[in-house]
Amino acid sequence: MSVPLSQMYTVVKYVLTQKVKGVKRYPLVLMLEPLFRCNLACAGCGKIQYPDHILDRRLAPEQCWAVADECGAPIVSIPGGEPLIHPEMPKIVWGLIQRKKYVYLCTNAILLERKLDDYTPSKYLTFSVHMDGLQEEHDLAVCRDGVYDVAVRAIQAALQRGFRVTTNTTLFNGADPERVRAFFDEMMALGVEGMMISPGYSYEKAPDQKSFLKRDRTRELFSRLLTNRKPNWRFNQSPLFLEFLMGKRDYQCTPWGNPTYNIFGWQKPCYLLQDGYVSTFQALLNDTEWENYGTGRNEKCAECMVHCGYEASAVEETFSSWSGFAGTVRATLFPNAI
Amino acid sequence: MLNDPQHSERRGENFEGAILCPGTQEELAKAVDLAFDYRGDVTIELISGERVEGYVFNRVASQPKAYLELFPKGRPGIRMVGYDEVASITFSGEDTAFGKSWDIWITKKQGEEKKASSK
Repeated sequence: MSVPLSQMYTVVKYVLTQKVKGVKRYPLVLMLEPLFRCNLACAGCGKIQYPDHILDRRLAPEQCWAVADECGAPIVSIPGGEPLIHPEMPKIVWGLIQRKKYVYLCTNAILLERKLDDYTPSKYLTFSVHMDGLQEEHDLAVCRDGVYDVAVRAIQAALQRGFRVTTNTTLFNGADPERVRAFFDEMMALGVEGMMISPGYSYEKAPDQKSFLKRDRTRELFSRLLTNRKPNWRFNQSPLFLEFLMGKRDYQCTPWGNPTYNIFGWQKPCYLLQDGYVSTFQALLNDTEWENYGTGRNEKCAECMVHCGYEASAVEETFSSWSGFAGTVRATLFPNAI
Repeated sequence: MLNDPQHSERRGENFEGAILCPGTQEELAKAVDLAFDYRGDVTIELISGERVEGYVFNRVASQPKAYLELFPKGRPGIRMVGYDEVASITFSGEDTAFGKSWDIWITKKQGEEKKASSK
């Protein structure tokens, strides 16, 4: 099983339409955070540290649909917090699917198995399960024993019911490349559609500040992970982005590619940094001083290689030139060629 | 500006309990930045004498009217406060991001492993 052709066609058509219209800054994936309440406290997460009255706030379904309409991105990723805690999440997802958005509902899967009856399998809906490695590594990363086993069971249940399922993996300093490669084997054996991998971002608010990767270590780690890839490994990401992680390509960040909306509004400048909020998507595009962010422009961006900023850069390269397109085809068909 | 000369502005410093009484525009802007960065509730005393407690989630420092926005604790809606209304800022709520959970988790895991290996 792989990404539906309809999704690929939708994304290609959308990007080419932006190119034809001459749109310089277009969103690709809306990062929609309807709540910050979570049922875990992962060491590398800087998203959930708020007072209780903030953690109790939720976006209403109507707000979620309105921002999806306003933004226009073909893909909507729903992280958090833990989205399945939101009592109206099935309604939110339903409304987004009605709008023909491809929804990636990001979840730690603790609640997934018992919530599956609230959803209907659809080519528009993917459960993207947070899995940071094999059992030992994952349970350590999420700071709770037993979560890996629960997540595996939930993945199996979802796949059996016909849902699309991917995994979402964040890697930190100390990741053992051989153990991570073994993890890739495990996830493919489970039957997930694809895997998403990224280096962790050094959130200032995360409890663990010692384990984030620096850029040179990121390239070294991902090079070891992705060289001599097994043919059955499927990554739900741009192949050019994977080459960027390996140090084979260099990009500047495209923060507007994955704009973020949450209970505070549209987040400036990106999913990872919180430098203020505005009330409209157009204000986000117009009022953010984009030239102040990115590698070499801002110390907070210095070590970042996260997909929410750089995958859109890779997609942009694919569609900006024949060489970019050819490079994408080559990287897709022959990932071990370089 | 700070009532406690021991507090510093180093990253990772716990501002819980600190009271900022800005005396200049620059100090005011800095105080609001710190309140915005703080992952807990603050109590803002206004020049009018009113006290507003809540979570500062946004600040717009540009002129002519710089303002901050907060979610008031225990009340619906958003409260907007002009910078020129601010008399003092107290970091009254717990700093939820002053993380000790990782260290506690690691200590616990190391203890369990030690116990398991000694059996």
